[in-house]
Amino acid sequence: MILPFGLRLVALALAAGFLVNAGLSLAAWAAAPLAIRRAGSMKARSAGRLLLGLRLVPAAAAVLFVAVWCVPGYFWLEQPGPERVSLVCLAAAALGFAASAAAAVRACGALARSAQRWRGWRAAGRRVLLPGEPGPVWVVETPGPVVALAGILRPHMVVARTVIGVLSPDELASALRHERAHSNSRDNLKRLAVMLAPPLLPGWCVLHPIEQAWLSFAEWAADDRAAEGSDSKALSLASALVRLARMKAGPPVPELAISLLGASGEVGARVERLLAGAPESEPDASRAAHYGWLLWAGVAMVILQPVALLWAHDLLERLAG
Amino acid sequence: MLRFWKQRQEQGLAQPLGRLESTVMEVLWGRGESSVHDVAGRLGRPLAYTTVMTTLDRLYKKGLLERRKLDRAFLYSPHFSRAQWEQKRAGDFMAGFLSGPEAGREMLISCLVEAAGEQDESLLQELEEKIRLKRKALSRRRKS
Repeated sequence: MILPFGLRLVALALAAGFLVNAGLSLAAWAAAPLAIRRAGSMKARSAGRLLLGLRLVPAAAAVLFVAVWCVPGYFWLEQPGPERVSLVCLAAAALGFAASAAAAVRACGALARSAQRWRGWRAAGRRVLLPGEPGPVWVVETPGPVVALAGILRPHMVVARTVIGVLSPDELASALRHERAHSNSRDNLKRLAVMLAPPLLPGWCVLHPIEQAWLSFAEWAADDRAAEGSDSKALSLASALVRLARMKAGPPVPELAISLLGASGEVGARVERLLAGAPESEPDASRAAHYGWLLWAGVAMVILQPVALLWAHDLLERLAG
Repeated sequence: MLRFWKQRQEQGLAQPLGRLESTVMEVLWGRGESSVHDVAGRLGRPLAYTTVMTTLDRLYKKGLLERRKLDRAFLYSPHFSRAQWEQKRAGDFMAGFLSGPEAGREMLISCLVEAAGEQDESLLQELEEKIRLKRKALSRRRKS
């Protein structure tokens, strides 16, 4: 099929993005059991980083490949004018478009639901500075055991008034420390990034087990930070979790608002973990983070070489047929 | 022929296990690959060699066991792990109920919700007890 210059670029970019994402997703899927097992022997925060990285690498690499190699190479080396595109390339582009659209719809839906719930909470609540808390908290009139973090870029802590009545001051402080840990780790933003990462095919995300494992480790990491290495703080958080689990459930908290209880099936495991001894949290800038930056710098040096652009363009030409 | 064999195996898998069959499966899950003689020796009650052999053969035909010939005897090993088997049984049970009349389906779901609630309640009670004990130990440690 003959396509004009601009449309051909779109088709090639979508097809290349799809192929990179699919190839790396399958590689990550194959590595998932080993990575999850390895994460189990690491500290929660590092384990979360490892799994989040593995979940996002295929999509990030696809975006990088398209933005840094495909598009500049196309403008630099292609003659303006219509040219032929193979059916295989068009099929890959269609799949790439469908997978990206599915991810975008999922993320937009979650954003809309979270924003709607936040507006509802805000309308029925007020900002309060609770004793001993470093910042204000939204105390809202809502049914259910709500201790949550709402918002992506500037998240707000939300507590149901009934929860304040049920928890002791120590338990409430632990619960809020847990949510603050999520806020400091920007976990809502990470959740949005995960949602925006296209699946292998629309409706078929092979990396779902990694996503679920990451969510669990993110909760554990926030538990560790809330416990601050103190047995009594760990105990207060465990007690808060059990008390909240006993409360009558309200409407489910939307995907982009992190709730203290998280997945209900996890409460038992989290409490047992907290009772086993106050886990030490890791410092913010670990050695792994420095290695990560070094790795990115190395990758950037490689991909900015003109020869890499030529090589990528050659690959695109083969894909276009 | 192959389809007939597969169909028979699926029918076999759907059937509940008898007492001896369950015991034999327990032995094989615990021990791994075993001969008829090995299984017979671990059943905890004296049974004829041929009875054990027939039971193993029946389980093999039902698709629950695999077997290979070593010299002149068969060695049997479980086709499913215990967890896979339990999952399959639960799945078949649910599928059977859910394909029935609507009243039955609703009753099953309400029973499951109730059972899950009871399970949750006992789990929470257990956790509360553990927290109480830990708190006690912590305050004792502080005093000493």
